[in-house]
Amino acid sequence: MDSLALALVLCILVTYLWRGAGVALAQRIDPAGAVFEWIGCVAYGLLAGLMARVMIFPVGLLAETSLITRGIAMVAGFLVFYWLNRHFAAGTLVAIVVFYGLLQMASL
Amino acid sequence: MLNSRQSVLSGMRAGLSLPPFMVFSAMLGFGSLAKSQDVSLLLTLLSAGGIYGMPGQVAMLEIYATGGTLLAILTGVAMANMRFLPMTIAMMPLYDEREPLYRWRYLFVHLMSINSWTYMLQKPDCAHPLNRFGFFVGFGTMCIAGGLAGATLGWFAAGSFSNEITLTLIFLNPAYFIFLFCTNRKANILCSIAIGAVLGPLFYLWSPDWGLPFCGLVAGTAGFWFCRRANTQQPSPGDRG
Repeated sequence: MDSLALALVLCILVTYLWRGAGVALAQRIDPAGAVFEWIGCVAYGLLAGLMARVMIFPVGLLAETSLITRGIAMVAGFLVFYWLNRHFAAGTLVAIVVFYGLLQMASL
Repeated sequence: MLNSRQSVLSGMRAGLSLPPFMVFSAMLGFGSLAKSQDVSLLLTLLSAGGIYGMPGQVAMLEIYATGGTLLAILTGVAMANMRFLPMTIAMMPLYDEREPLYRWRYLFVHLMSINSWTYMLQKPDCAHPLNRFGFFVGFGTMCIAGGLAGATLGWFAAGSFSNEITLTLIFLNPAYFIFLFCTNRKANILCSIAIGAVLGPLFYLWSPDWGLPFCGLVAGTAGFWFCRRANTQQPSPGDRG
């Protein structure tokens, strides 16, 4: 087995541990209690942090684009999102159209 | 109430929608990235379906490509995917243990991704409480199938799409989730999201490995605490004289 395959198998196990531990711990938590509410807040806070990090300090292919391009696209999306009373599909659509347009302009 | 098969099928029907396409688009970029690093299709698909958490998948490839040790790879992947712990704890109480499929929860929890998690938490009424786990299994199956299809296409089509289209498909995923999260109406969740969005990049600069878990802990606790405090300080109608 090559080293990447071995690393991959171990990474699958490590990732599963978080999900499996979550199932085990969830059985001990009262869904109507404050701890459950707090964990929901932690999960959303973590995901929001992850998405903001991906936008500002992306890794992989997205790192080829500039922060200004990503920022302008998101600002345009948010303007439409709030203008249309928090319509997430419209906000997303405008953000990706602006992002694509800016990339096209930059490549000309 | 539906039987297990029907509840899974209802989830699969609901999965003919935007969330699996989001997984597809994200994994498309991953497939291209894997191909560019000479990773075989088999290992690409094993990674996409086995780890099934994009930050962890990318971390594994990047640490491996830079010659990192096995311990560095495992630590990087574990930290990048740690979010699955609070996500699972927050999701599992949605399901009823009397549902037949629930006994396989340790197996099917693997189908939880940010897409299926967000869908189930924001639309808990998508299925009867006694069918909800089956619904999740069907919906999650569609999401992971979308991811595998995306990774396959990305691997084969690496270099054949224009760079702008590939980048836009990758950008689509975080943009979609940012807007979707912002539709949440609960004050403590919105507060946690706002604090997390500010702290996430800052904590990442402090520690790429530990920054994200700490960000979730601080943002979630602050959001929870501020709103709880605001609620307890609000005068009840009887106090207004």
